[in-house]
Amino acid sequence: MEAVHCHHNTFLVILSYVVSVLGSYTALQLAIGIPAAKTAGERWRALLGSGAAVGGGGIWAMHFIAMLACQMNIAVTYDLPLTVLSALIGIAACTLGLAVASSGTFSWVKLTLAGVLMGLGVAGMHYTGMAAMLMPAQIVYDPIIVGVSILIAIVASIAALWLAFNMRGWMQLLGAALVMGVAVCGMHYTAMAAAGFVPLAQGANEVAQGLHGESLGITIFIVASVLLFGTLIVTTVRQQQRTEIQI
Amino acid sequence: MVEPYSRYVELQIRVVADQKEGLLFELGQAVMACGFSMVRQRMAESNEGISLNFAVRGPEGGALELEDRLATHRRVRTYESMMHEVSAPAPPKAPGPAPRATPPGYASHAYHSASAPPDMLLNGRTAEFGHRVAASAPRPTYDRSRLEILLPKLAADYPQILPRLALLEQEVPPEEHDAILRYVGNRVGAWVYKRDFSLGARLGLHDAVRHIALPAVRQLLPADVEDEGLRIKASPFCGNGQHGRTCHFFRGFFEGLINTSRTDKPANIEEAHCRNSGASYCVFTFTD
Repeated sequence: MEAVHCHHNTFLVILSYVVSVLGSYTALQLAIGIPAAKTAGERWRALLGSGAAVGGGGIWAMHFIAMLACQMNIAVTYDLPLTVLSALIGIAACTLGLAVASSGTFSWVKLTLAGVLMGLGVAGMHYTGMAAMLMPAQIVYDPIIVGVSILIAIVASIAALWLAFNMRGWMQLLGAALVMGVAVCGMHYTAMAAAGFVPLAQGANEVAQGLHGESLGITIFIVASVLLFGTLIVTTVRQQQRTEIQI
Repeated sequence: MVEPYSRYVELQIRVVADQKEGLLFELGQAVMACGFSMVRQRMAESNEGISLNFAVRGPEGGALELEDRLATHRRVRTYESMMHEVSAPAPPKAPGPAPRATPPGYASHAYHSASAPPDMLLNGRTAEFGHRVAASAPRPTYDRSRLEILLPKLAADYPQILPRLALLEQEVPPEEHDAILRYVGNRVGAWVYKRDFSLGARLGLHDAVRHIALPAVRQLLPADVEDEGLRIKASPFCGNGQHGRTCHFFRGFFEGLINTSRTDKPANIEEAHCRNSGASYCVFTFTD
């Protein structure tokens, strides 16, 4: 039986980093407004918005662009319920992480806890997304590299949250988004290096029932467009609010 | 590097430039960067171009560097200067600051022009904070309602507000400097916080000084943070012929910046050392 290999398309790999940065930037734009929220409703709206942007946009969309970039010599589709679940895991973990980071006075304990939650969210989303793969092959992981991938996600998430919440100004926010992109992509591509694909004789039936690359591509396009639009809206509203502040 | 307690001198300077827009501001930055303060200025159009006459005060050790900067400044076409010694400031632990002797020739024309020249412009705009009056003359209580006219103008000009504040300081009676300049500083600081620094986590005092107060004040003039506190290198409120600590605006500015974000008790902010009392820097301390 022929060995299964994954060759990455460079353009899609770069695109996956750009989408993760875009998602993180939108999310952090919303997240830094959480401490300034005047009502509980305002706070939860900002929390869920930023959690969805980073979990659904920065992490989930990045993951599946990277999976489209991974060109294999076998047919691959995705199980719909597990794919949806992977997005929900990313959103829930990131919402929790941001809720911790933005509550009360900033401290290293909160930052570490928030970073661990977000890092686990990135990893949880990834490995659930990998489990959603339907193909005539089985995935086997190198446990050490898996551990390294989770560590990368946690450390880079802590760095990104520190930059976003502790520093001030749009440069710091952009820096935080770039670092968060490193957290997500660093975790993903390290985890991919941990994965080996063992060919199986059966599995063709499951492949036919799964979500195909074209459908996934359209979904990712919609998510990326929403992120871009969200960034534009948040930036415009913030600019407007800034000019209206009276001395 | 300016010597900590060198003699203070006053330089009478005349420059000619091609354009007046931003001239005073750009030269004012060079003046402040050398540890000097601008004490008066007069700008007029002449056959040669835009003529700017101004006087600056500061430590003698920085005079050469200042002259070099101004004479070679890209906006300056011709440069002339004359130096006078003002006084030697008291060391920091002296019981009280030594009164600064103003040369008679200067006192006669420094503050007594009850009607400012009609062509006196400030950064391209007419100075609107009234006319300068003699420092020794009795002054009426300052009309605080004028501050509500001044504050939106400070917001419009921000961060180029130091020339306006220098004029305000001259206009306000000395006994009201602390209250009025601190109040204006507080309002400006709170506004800057809401505008530029309100997004992000609520910070502890130590982080707030480094990540809010320092970058905010650096928009106005050079500053840094050392163990002793936040240091301002060239406050324009020093060396204007007053005694003791004079940076009331900055104290209020930091109070507005830091305390607007705090939900518990406000931080205590003090000017621990002032260049006006002979220190090398104006140092502000922050305590819970």
